[in-house]
Amino acid sequence: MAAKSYLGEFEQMVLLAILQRGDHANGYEVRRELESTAGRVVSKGAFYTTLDRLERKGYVRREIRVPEGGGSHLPLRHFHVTPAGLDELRRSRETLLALWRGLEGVLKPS
Amino acid sequence: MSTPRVEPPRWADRLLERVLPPGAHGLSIIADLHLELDDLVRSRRVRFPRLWYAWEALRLAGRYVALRVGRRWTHGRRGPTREEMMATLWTDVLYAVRMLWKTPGLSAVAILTIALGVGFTTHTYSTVYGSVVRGLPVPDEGSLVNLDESIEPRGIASTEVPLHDFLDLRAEQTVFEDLAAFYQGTVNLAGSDAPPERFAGAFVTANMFDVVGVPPLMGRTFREGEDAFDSPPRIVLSYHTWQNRFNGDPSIVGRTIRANGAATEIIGVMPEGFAFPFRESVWLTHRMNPAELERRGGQDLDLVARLGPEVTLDIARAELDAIASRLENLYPEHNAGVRFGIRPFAERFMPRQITTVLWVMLAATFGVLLIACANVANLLLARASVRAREVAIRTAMGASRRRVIQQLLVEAAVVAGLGGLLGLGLAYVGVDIFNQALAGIERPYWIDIRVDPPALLFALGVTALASLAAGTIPAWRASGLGLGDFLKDEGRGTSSLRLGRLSTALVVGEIAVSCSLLVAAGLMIKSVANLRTLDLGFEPSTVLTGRVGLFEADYPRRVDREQFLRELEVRLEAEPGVVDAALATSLPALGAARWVVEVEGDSYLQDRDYPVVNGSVITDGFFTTLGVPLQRGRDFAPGEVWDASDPPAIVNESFASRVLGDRDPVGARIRLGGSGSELPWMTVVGVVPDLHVGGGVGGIGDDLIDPEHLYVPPAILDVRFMSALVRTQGPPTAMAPRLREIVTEIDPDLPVYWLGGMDDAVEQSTWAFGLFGSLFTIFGIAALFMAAVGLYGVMSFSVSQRRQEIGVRMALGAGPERILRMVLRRGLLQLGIGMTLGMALGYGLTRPMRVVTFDVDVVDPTVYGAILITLALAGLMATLVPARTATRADPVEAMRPE
Repeated sequence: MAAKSYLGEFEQMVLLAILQRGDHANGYEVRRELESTAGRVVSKGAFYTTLDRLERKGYVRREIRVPEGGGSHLPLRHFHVTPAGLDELRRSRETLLALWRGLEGVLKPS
Repeated sequence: MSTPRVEPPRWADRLLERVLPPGAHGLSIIADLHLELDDLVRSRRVRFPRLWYAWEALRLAGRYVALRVGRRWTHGRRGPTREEMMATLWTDVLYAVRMLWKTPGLSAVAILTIALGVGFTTHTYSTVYGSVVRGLPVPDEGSLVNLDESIEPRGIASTEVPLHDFLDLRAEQTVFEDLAAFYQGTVNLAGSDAPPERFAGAFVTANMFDVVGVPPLMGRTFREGEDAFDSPPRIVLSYHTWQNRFNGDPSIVGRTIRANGAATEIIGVMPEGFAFPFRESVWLTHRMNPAELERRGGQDLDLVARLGPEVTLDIARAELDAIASRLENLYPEHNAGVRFGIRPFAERFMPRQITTVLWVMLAATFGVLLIACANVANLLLARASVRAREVAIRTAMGASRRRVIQQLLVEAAVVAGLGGLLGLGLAYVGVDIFNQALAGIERPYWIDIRVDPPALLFALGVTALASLAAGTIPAWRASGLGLGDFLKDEGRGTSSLRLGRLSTALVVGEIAVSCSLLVAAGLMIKSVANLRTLDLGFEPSTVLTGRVGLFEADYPRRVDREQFLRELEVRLEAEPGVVDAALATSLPALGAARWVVEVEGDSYLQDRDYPVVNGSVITDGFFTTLGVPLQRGRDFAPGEVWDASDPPAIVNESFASRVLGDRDPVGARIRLGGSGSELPWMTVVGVVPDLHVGGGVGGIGDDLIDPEHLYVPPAILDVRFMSALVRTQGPPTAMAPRLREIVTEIDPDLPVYWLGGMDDAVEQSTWAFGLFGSLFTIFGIAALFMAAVGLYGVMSFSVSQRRQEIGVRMALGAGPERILRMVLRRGLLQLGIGMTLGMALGYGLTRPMRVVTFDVDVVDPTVYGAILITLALAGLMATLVPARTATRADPVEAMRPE
């Protein structure tokens, strides 16, 4: 890769939802966060494949925990954003903010 | 937890476990889904939680499957990443489903037509596969052949082989590994705890099992020499007989039972599913004594041989011809003009004509499938042109052509996939119905019709082909449209001309194919109708029949047999509820023997000049029992039929006119046997109308129309097998148990077989007409339905495309009739061209069908006329409805841009 690629919109949203949810949220909690805050229905397929991709890129780490009692005894993945992921988010934010600068007037809803 | 847990469906989880990434990674995704389910149940946000779960699981699984397929598919290729590709494919599938859902009526029609197409083809393929392709379940089926002989001077094209010819053939031939013979008959089994029973059986040479190549399940088969006339009788049982009559007794081998009256040792049991050659339950040796027999005498035999390695039918044929010539030189008196024929063994019981009809049927169903594809292509084409604006803009903005094609192909594949699934269901149902229809019909044991792996594979291939055929044209067309084309179209939303011409061609093709299928169906329907209304010449509905066979072991002398038969007739007539009773060797509509006869006063130059006629041995009362009035003269008198001095005979109308010519039939003298006959002369005492003879394979053949028929009394011929005919007051089947009892009273060891109503027996004999007739009828109606739907779809689409034009015309003063005429003209033109093509095609299709049509001319004008009218009406309706809608449109509304 010549230059670091930017995070996609959805990738950003997923990372932010993990952070919003507090550290070590499980997949379902992250997805609910996304749906309630962003106000959009998230396709599970897209969500999980995005999580996998973020993990491959090293922006997200997971931790497997087997819940005790209740539920189905299946292992749960708890996610948290790595320092690299945080860096990446920061970079995206700065880029966007820089691009936004001075445009408030133009874009104010009339 | 306050609310009860809802267990997610097990299968859904198992599916997910298979397709999600392995290990904890995948499991955690399932766990998330469980959490959500719990949540939803707790908050009561879904009505059907399990259904919700199943749907979510399917969607998730679909995504992951697509991903995985994509990874394999695009391995090592450049271009868009596999994940992206698969993601778009999955999007396309969902999009296609959504598009289909938007026009539920059209989509349902498209899916239904594909389902019918796939269903019919799969069903017919299963039939063809099960009855022709799979063949006999014996090792190396392809090298098993059947031999017969033809006797040119006597005009016999195919007949069984006499014993001496068989023995000479076996001794001289070098092309076969081995050559065996058999004849089929029935075998009485008695002497165990069960009541006596009659079984279909084959009498075989000792080497038959070796030639066929199937080893026994238990015990052994026959050994060399066991077919000598003085060898003690031995019997081999089929699995089914062993299980049913002997309760699967494991120590059955070695037991002695009575078979056809003689003490017989059971030496073996054959494995399940073996019933060679036709539907046999037991096998005995044909105990032959060639020394005692003169040449061409004795029981004629069916031959089965195994071709040697590298020997083709042609090589074998050459040697058979050479042997035949040698025999002809050696025995000019007996073997003049005798030639041997050879064919694959299956053809012995599955005549080539039926096989041809089956293949024609398969072709016909492909016609149905073709129509289905045309319909779906039309549907997609219509939709593609509505979306032409969208496609054009997408292409202009850089969407690749491949991407657009993919979208349309996916749509076709979705339609074909759903239709294929439904069609497979139809095929299963069809095969079930077909088998039920065949249930009572005697057919070769190896014919087993089911939807098995080859048929499934076939269905899959057909579906794939259908989706490709239906998807390619629209995809190619639509993607080829540039933005320029679209703009030139001035906002009408389509390049209507180009798409219009293509769909016109499709509809013409559809009409042509369905017309040809209707021609086939029409001929079949007419033939079935002919058969139903056929005047058999007698009244079968209140007649009961049952057959007995008398064997030399139990009835050694002719007089013993006569005594039994006479007693049977007397008892039957005395039975309360019986109106009339008689005995006969053959039943009308169910075949007859062929006899060579000689008329007193006529001279014959050669053997072949003697007339060959149908013949039956009957007792007095035969014609009154069947309700047949005599045309002239009288019936046999009671007692007269057993008196060999001055025996009487009865002839039918055809016999009287064609064999007896101008002389008065009553009083004419005839005898059986041709030249050198020593049988007594018979005096004709009566003439009866022609009855239907029937016979042949499944009632198929030219011999249905009764030719000359001669009826003689049993005093003339020593008979062993006779059918009893009983006209009853009530329903005939109610009398069936009584008939069995009466026979048992006379001889407790004698079974009655083929017991049942005469009308059932007649229906059996004509099953092929009925079966093929109804199949073709269904195909034809389906084709008509589909073509009408297709025509309607295209017409209403093209009318809606021309809304603006019609609006302008009406605004300019064109009346509704004018518009109607304009629309109709176009529809009728398509109809006309299609029907002309279809008639020609249909004519070609029906030519090989002549063997299964009954008394119908292949160019039957009423059939063609009826089809023209039906199709024209259907086409008119399909055109008229959209045309009327067009004229009702408000011009202002029509001209408003979309």
